[in-house]
Amino acid sequence: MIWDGLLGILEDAIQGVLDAFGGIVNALIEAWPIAMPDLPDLPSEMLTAWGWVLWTPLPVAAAIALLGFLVGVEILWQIIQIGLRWGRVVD
Amino acid sequence: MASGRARIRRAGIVLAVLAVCAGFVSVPGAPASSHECPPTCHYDDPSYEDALIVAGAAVSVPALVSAEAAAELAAWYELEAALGAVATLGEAEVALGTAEVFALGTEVGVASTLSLAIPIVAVGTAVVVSYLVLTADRQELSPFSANILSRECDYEGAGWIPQYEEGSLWTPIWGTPYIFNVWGIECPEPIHTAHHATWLMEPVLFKSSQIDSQGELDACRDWVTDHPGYTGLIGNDIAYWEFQVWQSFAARIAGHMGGPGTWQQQSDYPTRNHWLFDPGDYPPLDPWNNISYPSSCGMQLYVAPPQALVSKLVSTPTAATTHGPEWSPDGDVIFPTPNRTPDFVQAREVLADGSVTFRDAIEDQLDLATVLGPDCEYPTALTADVCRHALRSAGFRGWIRYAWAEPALEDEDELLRAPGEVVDVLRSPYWLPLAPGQHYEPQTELRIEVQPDPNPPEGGESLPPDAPPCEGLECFQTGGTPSFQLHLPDIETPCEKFPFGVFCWIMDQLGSWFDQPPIPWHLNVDSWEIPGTGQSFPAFAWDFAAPGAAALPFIQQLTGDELDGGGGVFGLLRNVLGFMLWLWGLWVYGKRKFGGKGLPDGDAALPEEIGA
Repeated sequence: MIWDGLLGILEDAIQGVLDAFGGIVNALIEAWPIAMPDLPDLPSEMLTAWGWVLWTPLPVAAAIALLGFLVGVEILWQIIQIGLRWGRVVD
Repeated sequence: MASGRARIRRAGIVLAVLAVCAGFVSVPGAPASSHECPPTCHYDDPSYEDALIVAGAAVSVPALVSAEAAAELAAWYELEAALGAVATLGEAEVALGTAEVFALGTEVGVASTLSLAIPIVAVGTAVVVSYLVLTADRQELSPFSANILSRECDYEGAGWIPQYEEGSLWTPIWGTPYIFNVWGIECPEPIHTAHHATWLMEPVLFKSSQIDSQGELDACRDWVTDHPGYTGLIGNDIAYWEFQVWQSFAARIAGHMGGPGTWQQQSDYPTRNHWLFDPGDYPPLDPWNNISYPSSCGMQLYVAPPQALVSKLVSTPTAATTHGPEWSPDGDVIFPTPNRTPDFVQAREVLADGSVTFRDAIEDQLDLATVLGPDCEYPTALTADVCRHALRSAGFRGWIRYAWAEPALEDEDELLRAPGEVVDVLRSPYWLPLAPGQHYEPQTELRIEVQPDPNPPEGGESLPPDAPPCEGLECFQTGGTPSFQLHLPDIETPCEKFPFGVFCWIMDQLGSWFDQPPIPWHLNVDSWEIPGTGQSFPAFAWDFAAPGAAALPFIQQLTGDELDGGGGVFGLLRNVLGFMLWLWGLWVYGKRKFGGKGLPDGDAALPEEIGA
C-alpha cells in the first residue's frame, strides 16, 4: 500500500511536470504576437487535375507511402546518428 | 588515464540513464512481481538481471561484486555502480580488480546521479513553480471552452476573459486579481470569470463577439477591445452583459438579414443596466434556436432559452416600428413586424424567469465548463461498459479507467453488488466519488471500480465481463489503485500563429490533395467563336464515365464498376506498379545509404588481406 501511495505521488509529480510544460507551452503559444495571415487555398482546378491523376493506373498512393516511409527512415537515422556520433560509433 | 576515466565516466552516465529509463519503461502496466526494483531488492533478484539486460549488459552481477559490498551501499547505487563496472570491464586496457571496479563504479554512479539529478530537480522545480504561479486559483474556463474562445476571437490567454487591452492577461493569483501585462499596458480593474459570475461571461462573449464578425479576421477582437461597451465588461457590470446577450438576439431579429454571417452592425449603447429586450414584446418571433454555424470567427454557438406557449393579447402597430430609447438609445434598431389587429394568439414566449432559467440553460446545454455527472452507482446497477457510455454521454472527455474494487466489507454498496457491476466512480485528482448531479470539468479523469468475482477463475482475475479493450482514453487496470500511467499534456496546435501556422497551412493543402477522390477524366468545353469566320464552335462535353456514355462499359472494365479507380485493370496495374515502385525505391535508398561499399565483380572485390 505504501508503495502504491508513493507510486501515486510520483505519478502525480511527473504528470504535474508534464502538465506544467504543456501549460507553459500553451501560454507561450497564446502570447505569440504574430497572427497567421489568411493564405489562399489550393485552386480547385489543381485538385481536379490531381483527381484525374489518381484515376489513372499510376501508383500514386504507393509513391506517397514510399516517400513518407523513406523520409521517416532518414529522419530516424539522422536522430540515431546523433547518439552514435556522440558515442564515436560512427564518424 | 585521464581519457580512460573520461570514457568510464561517459559510459557510466549512459548506463545510468539507461537504467533510469529502464526503470521507467518497466513500471507502467508491469506485473508487480517483476521489473520493480525497490531499494530493498537484492543482487540475486531476477529483476536485476532484467534491468541489466535492458541496459544492454547481460552479465552476472553476483560475479562482479561481493555480498559484503552489496550490504554497504544503497540498492540503486549498487546497480549503477555495477553498471559502471560492467562498462569498465568492457575496456580491455583497463584491468582493475573487483573492489576497484566497484569503487570506481560507485564514484561514477554518484557523480552521474548528482550531475543529472541537480539540474533535473532545479528545472523541474522551476517549471512546477512557474506553472503554479501561472495557474494558481485561475478562474479558467474548461479546456473545451478555452479552445472555442481562443478560436472564436483569438483572445490571448485562452480560457480567460479577454483582456482589456491587447496583450494583457487577467490572472488572479491566490484569489487576488492581477494582470500579467504582456505589452506594458496596465489594467488594474478586477474582473469576474465564469466561475465567479457563473454563466454570464462565457456565453456572452460568444454573443458579443459575433456582432461584427464579418470581414476582417480580427473583427471580433476589435469589437471587444474598441467598443465602448467593453467598459461595461471591465466594470463587471453583470446587467450589461445580459444586455449584450439579449441585444445580440435582438439585432438578429431586427435585421432579418438573411442567413448567417449577415449580422446587423450593432449600434453603440451608452447606457448600462438596461434590459434591451423584453421577450413579451415579440411573441411571434421565435429566434431562440440552437444555432451553430461557421463564420469568419469560427463556430458560433447560441442557446435556446426556455419557452412556453401562452395565450396573449397581441397588439402590434402596422408596418415597421422604430423602437425608441427604451430599446435603443439611438433609436436606430427597426423591428419590422406584420400588420395585425389586437387579438389573443398562441405564442411561444420566453418564460418569465427567463433570465434565470436562461442562465441554467446555458450552463446545462451550452455550458462548456462543467458536466453533469451521471449516477453509475447504487442503486443503479450498471456494468462498466454501460457506465462508461453514460459518462461519455454526460460529456466526460478525459481518461476513464477501470479497476477491480478493493474489498471493503463496511461498504454497503459493494456488498450489494454482483460481480462485474460498478461499485464506485472515482474522480481525479483525489479519487473521490463522483457525485451524481454535480458539475465537473469535462477533462476530469475517472476510474470505474468494478465488483470483483469472489471466486475468480483459475489463473486469476482478468477483465470485467464487458470492459472495453484498452485503447485510446480508456483502459482497464488491475488492482484498486491507479497504476503508473502518464499522459501527455494537451498542447494547442499553434496554427493561428505565424510562422507555425505555415506548417498547418501546408498540411491542410496537402491534406486536400490526399483527400481528393479519383475523378474520371472529363472535359467540358464551352462554345467559342472561330476568329474571322463568324462561326461558333459548338460546346461539347467529353466524359468517360458519364452515365450513358458510349465508352462507359469499356471504362468500367478498366476501372471497375465504381469508376473510382479502385479495381479493374487500372487497379491491377496500380498494384503491380506500386509493388515495383517499392522495390525500386528501397533499392535506390539502400544503395544510397550503403552504396559504394558493395563488392564489385571479380576477385578485386575482396579486400587485400582476405584475397591474399
